[in-house]
Amino acid sequence: MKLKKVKRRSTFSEIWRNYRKSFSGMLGLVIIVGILATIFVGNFIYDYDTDVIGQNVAERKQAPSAEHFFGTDEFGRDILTRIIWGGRYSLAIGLAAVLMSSIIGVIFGSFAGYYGGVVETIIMRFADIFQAIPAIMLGICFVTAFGQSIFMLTIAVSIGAIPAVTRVTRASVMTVKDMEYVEAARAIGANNIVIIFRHVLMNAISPVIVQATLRIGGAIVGIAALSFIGLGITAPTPEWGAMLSSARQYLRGYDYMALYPGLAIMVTVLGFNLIGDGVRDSMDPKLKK
Amino acid sequence: MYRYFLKRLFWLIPVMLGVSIFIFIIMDFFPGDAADTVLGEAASQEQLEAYREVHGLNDPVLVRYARYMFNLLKGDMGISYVTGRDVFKTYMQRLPNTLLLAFTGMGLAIIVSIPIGIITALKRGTVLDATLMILTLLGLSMPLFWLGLLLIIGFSLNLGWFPTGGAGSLKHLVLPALTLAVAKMAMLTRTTRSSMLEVLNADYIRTARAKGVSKKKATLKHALRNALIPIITVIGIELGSSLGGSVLCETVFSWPGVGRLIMDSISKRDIPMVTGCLILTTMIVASLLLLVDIIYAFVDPRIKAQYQRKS
Repeated sequence: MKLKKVKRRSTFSEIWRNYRKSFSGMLGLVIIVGILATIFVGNFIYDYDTDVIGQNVAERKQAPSAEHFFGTDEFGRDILTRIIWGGRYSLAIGLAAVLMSSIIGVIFGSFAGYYGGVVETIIMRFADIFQAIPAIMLGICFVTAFGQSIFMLTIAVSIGAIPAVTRVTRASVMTVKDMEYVEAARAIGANNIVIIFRHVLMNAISPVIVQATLRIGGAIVGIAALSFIGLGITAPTPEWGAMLSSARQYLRGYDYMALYPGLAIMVTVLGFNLIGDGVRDSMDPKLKK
Repeated sequence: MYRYFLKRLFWLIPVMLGVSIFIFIIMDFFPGDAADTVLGEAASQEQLEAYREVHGLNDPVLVRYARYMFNLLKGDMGISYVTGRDVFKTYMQRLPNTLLLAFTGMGLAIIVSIPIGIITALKRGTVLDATLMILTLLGLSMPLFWLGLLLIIGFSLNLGWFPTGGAGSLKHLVLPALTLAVAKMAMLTRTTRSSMLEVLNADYIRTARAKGVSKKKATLKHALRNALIPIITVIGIELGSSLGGSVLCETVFSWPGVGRLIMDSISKRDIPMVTGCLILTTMIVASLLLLVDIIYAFVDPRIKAQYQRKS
C-alpha cells in the first residue's frame, strides 16, 4: 500500500520536474497565470453595467492616453477594461471546449481501440465523416442552426476536434491493450469498462493530454473567429473577436481599436502554446532517460 | 498499389454520403425556410403553407434528402432561394478565386519556409535559429483575421500601397495571400526544421559526407529528400485548411471566393446554396488529402513497398 502511494506521486513529480526544466513551458505558465490573475482582479475593480458596457459618448474614440491606456471605443468605453473583462469568455469557453472534445474523443477512441472489430469500424468511419467537413464551417453551421448561446459556441468550437482526439486515443489504447497487466486484469474478472478507464487509459492518456494542451490556443482563436464573423458572442458583451469585428469599421483614423484586442488573443494563445510545448517535452517518452 | 488507391477513392463515396446526410440534418435546424426567404415577411400564413406544400417542404427530412440526392446524381444541386441562380454554377464561378488565394499563399509559404527551415536546422542553437523560432511561435499564435487587419492598417491605410479589399488585379491579391501565408510559414518552417534535424543526424548522412559528398549536396540531396514526407503532409493539411477556412481571410479582405459565398448564404438563410457549398468544399478538401496520400508513395519508396504488400 505504502509503495503504491510513493510511486504515484513520483510519476507526477517527475513530469513536473521535467516541465520545470523547460524555459518556454515556464514562460507560458507565467503568462497564463498573469492573465488569470488580471481577469480575477478585474472582476473586483470593474462593474459590468457601468464600466464594461456602460456608454460614455463624451469620451468616444479617444486615442490611448494616460487616462485610457488602450484608448476608448466608438461608445466611449475603455478598451483595456473591456479586454480584461473579455478574457474570461475566451479562457472559459476555450478550456471548456477542449475539455469537452477531449472527454468525448477519449470515450470513442478508447472504445474503438479496445474493442476493435465492428465497434472500431463504426466509430472510425464516423470520425472520417466528421473530419472531412472543415472545422470552421462545421462550427458556423452549428451555431446558425442551434442558436448563438455560450453553450452552443462551446460545442461549435469543440466538435471539429473530436475526430482527432478519437484517433490519437485509439492509437494510444491499441499499444497498451495487449499488455500483460491488462490481460491479468481481465483474468481476475474485471469488467471491460473498468479495464478501459482504470487500467488502459491510465497508461495511454499522455499523448491525449499533450494534444489537448496544444489545442487550447486553437480553441481560443476559434471562439474569436466565430465572434469576428458575427456568430459568436454578441454585443455589447466584450469578447476579443467581437471587439475586433466592430473595430473594423474604424480602421481609418482609429486603428488602435483593432490593435489591442488582437494582441490580447495573441499573448494568450502564445502562453498556451508555450505550455503545450512544455507539456509535450516533459511527457514525451522519447525524451525520458 | 493502384488497387489500394482505387479502394481509397471508392471510400470517398460513403464518406461523402455521410457528410451530405449530416449537412442536410443540420440545415433542417436552420431558422426559417424557403417559404420565409422567397415570399418575404409580407406573406400570410396561408401563402407560406401553400408554398411549403407545393415545393415539398413539409415532407420528412429523409424524403427531402432522397430527392436532393436523386437530383444531385443528375448534376442538379438546386437553385438559390435568394438569387434564383444555379448553385453549382455559382460555386464554380467563385472557386477559382479561392483556389488562387490558397495556392498563392501556400506557394509563398513554401518558397520562404523550406529554405529557412533548412538553415535553422543547420545552425541549430545559434542566435539566428532562436530568433527565427521565436518569430514562428509568434506567427503560430497570431489569429489570421487580426494579422489581416494589421496588414490593412499598415499597407493600405497608412502606406497606400495596396487596396483594402476586393479582387481583380495582382495588387488585390498581395495582402490576403500574405495573411494566409504567414501562419503557414510558421507551421512549415517548424516542420522543415524538426524533420531536417531528425534526418541530419542519420548515419547515411555521415556516410555520404565520409565518402566525400559536399556538405551542400548532402544536405540538399540526401537529407532534404528524406525529410520531405512530414513536410508534404503539412503542406497538404494546410492547403486543405486554407480552402476550408477561407471564410476568415475572405471576410477580412472582401475577397469574392467560396468562403464569402458561404457566409453570405448563411446570413440570408439560403439553404440550397449553403448545402451545395458545404458538400462541394468538403469533397474538394477530401480529394486533396487523398492526393497527398498518393504523392507520398511517389516520394517515399518505403510507403510504396508497404502498399504493394497490402494489395
